[in-house]
Amino acid sequence: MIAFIQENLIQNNAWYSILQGLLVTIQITAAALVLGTLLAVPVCMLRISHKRVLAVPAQAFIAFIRGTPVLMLLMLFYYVVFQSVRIDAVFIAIIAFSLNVSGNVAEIMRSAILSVSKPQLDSARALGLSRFAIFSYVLLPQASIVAMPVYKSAVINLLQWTCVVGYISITDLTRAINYMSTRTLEPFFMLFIGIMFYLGLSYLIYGLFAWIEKRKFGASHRYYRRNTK
Amino acid sequence: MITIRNVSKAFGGKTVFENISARFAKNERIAIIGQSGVGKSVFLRCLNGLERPDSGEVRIAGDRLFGSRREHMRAISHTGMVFQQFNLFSHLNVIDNIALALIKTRHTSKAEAFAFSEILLGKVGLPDKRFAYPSELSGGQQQRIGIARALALNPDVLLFDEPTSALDPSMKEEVLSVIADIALQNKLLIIVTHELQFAHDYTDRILFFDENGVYEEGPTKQMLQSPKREKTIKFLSAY
Repeated sequence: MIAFIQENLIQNNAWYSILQGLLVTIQITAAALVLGTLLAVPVCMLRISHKRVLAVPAQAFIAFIRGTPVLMLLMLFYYVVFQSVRIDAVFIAIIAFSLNVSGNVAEIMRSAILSVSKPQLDSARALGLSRFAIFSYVLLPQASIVAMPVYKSAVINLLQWTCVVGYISITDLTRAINYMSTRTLEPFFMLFIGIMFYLGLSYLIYGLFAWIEKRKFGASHRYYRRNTK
Repeated sequence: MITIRNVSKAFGGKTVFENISARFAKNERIAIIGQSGVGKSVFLRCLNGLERPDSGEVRIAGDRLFGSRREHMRAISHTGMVFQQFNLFSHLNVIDNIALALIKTRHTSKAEAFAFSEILLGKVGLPDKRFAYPSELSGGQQQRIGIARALALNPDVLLFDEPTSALDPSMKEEVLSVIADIALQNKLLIIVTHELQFAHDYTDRILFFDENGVYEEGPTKQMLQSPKREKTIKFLSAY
């Protein structure tokens, strides 16, 4: 077994190519997640606006993004929009995936915000909390509880969908594994390694979200922990 | 303390009440009674800015609701409200529910806010529940926390919107006894209720609402023992 691993993974530097691919996958996933989520905030705010002039364009944007396969979006940017510009393909992938994330996450945010019941906001207003305080200490925490499980799935989906970036000649984890399968003629072994990496990353994300979901809101927890020692 | 001038409210073209004018003095205890759906709760919500009247004005300690932002917030700061469905913040534990407004609106230090919240928890008889979440409490306990939360900012005006309607009889008693204690303090207390015995024991004045607003009003004893107008007599005869 050790000889097999040494022959197929170490001697021909396959591990290095796979690691490079893994880093590209992580890079695209992380950047698209951050940018997409940041972009989702204004899109969601426009979408829930009572003014049609703001809500309708946001709705159209979301419908377009959610109705278009991310691979189409990727090819559209690579072969059409940025065709004449010398630009790194990874950068193009980040833009395409960010847009895809923004449309989906904006909808997740919208449904989470709308799920916060009016009576909860009534109590906050009756207590004289400012709009900012209501948003920060009542609306956002309650909406995040609702949004978190769906958002977690969106992140896992994003990670898995990045495997299509090979179409625009980016060597990510999937493409690296595919390449090494052909070179070593050991497709089962290589695919097994690839699946293990994706599973590992997914469980890392699950773990991170489990930790986030366990956190408690309110100032009392930290205060009493610090002052009852 | 509260001055109401020609306040009207309608929803979707349907009038809830029209041209209500009233004055509520500091230390007064007012009961608002009437059939369900006649706008008692809407009227109460107009007194702390949760509903905006279509016309007329409400002033609390001279500050006009829906005046300038600062005046509006100042007017609200005089009031505390207890809701029919408790409306505790579901993501916060009991002590955070009570202390939140103190920390965020009065900028009280956490140490003071939590210490005062614990005193209030003692007053409503739940000192050991500070770390419980609303979902872990019975209806009566939630309502007592709701009362503690309303008292946290030491408001001059306390508004109770059918505080016992969602409770079974034993829980009603525990909540009413807490409200009875508050009724003895020097605060303006306005309670929308169907508990006529409580109104009889603890309030000074009753406003009877019908579909158009205040139909009859008067001192509690007189209203309960010898109401003058037809609808009031009919309503009270059912009890």
